[in-house]
Amino acid sequence: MPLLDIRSLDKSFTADNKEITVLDRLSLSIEDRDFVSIVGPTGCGKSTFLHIVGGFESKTGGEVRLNDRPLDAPGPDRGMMFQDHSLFPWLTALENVCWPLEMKGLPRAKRLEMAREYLDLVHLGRYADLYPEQLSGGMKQRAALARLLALDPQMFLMDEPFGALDSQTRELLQEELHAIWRHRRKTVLFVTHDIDEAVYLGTRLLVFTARPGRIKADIRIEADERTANFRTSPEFFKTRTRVWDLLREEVLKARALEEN
Amino acid sequence: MKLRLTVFQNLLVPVVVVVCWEVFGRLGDVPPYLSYPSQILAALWHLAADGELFGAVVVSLYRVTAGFAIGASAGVGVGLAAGLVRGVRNFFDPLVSLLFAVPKIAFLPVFLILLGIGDPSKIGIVAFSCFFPMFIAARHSVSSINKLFVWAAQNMGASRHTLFFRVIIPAAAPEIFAGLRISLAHAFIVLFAAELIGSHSGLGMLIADGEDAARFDLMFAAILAFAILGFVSDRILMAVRARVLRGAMLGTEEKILA
Repeated sequence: MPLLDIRSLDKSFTADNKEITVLDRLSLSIEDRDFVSIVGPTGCGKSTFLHIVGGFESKTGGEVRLNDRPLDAPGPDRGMMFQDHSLFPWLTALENVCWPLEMKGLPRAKRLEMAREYLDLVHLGRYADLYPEQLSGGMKQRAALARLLALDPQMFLMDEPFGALDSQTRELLQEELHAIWRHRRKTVLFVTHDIDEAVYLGTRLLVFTARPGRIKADIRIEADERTANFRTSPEFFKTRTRVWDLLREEVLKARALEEN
Repeated sequence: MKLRLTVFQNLLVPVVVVVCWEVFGRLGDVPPYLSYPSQILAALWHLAADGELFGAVVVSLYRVTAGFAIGASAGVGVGLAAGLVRGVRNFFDPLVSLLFAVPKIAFLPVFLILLGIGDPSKIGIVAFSCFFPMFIAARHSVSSINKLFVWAAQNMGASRHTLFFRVIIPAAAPEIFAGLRISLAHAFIVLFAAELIGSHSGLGMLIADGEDAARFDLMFAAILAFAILGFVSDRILMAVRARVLRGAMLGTEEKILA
């Protein structure tokens, strides 16, 4: 039985008296412990898709089942990480990471101990007492990742989490995320516009079509070890080229859509 | 060095004005109704020495504090409720828009008739005047909260209670403090006017008495006392804000002002 089962999911909304279909009969099954990268042109509904799975936005039609139960309100079984860090600015990094632990009802001493461990894991131990505003972009996303780890959801929902970072920081964080994923064996839905990132991280890669979003291609990436070498391997380039060819058409379509 | 330059820039205009005022005042080049600084300070000292100032300050401070506490808390409460609940919003929005721009002192006769010449009418009009800017700030603070904070909290399993007290309130706090600051200024402004027009006590009455008796040094002394009171209470509020907000205020322009 798949972890997440989606049957003909529809999402549309009205803007300026026009009905816009964002997702059109999307069907998809996701197995436990898969790392699913999702790429697609701007406005294809990939973020909306993630928000629906997270329970933040409602669906128009279709069915979404998690662990064979229909899913609705946001809950700690699916942990979301946003492109713009959603750390609470009035709390320090440590207090932010403590938050989900407190919601789980852990005693204070235990919370602090665990939060420190998670911050150490993302190399932020020294900055535990700084406020988000005092951290760099990369450090903020590290702290957000530590908070996600502290929440310890079954499924990570990541919406372009590294999109706003410079490329060096991004590559380092990708490697860290990969190591964490290998170690903890979580299921990840990872939306990105960066094909390299999608290929490097994903065990499975979905290409979305231009709006209305459907799945254009579903690709397995079978490399086991994702070291820096993987980035220069023939397999990486082959997949990368294939994904780009698929995506290119859709990007052009999306652009035409925008211009009309 | 930079700090010294800032202090210099801050003080240049006031110092020049006070020095010129004093010099020309002593030379008799300034009309008597303007008095001059050393005369005003002497009058202030005299008022303080015979206890009259202290009594007036206590009365005015009591009125301003009580009125501000009542008006601002009502403004925060109703404003937050309006930000969160559509029904409350629909009820209060038109009312506030209509009354916000009206000078609240215009309602003084109503308060005098309802509550008499003493403290209650002053506290009432101060509270009334504080309510509006506070309502507007609190209402807006809720509607401008970053949606991601709410989503993140729900995602981590926050109850509605937790969401309100641990996310909405702290996220709204910077704007609430901005509202408190404006309310506090309004409190002093309206109290000043109310005591000037209809009161048997307080700093405002002292000003009115000085004016009636053509004792302009006394009038300015009371105005100075009023200014000091307003300045000190604003500083206290800003110090409280800096403590309460800590991280939330980092990286904003305002931290420099605080």
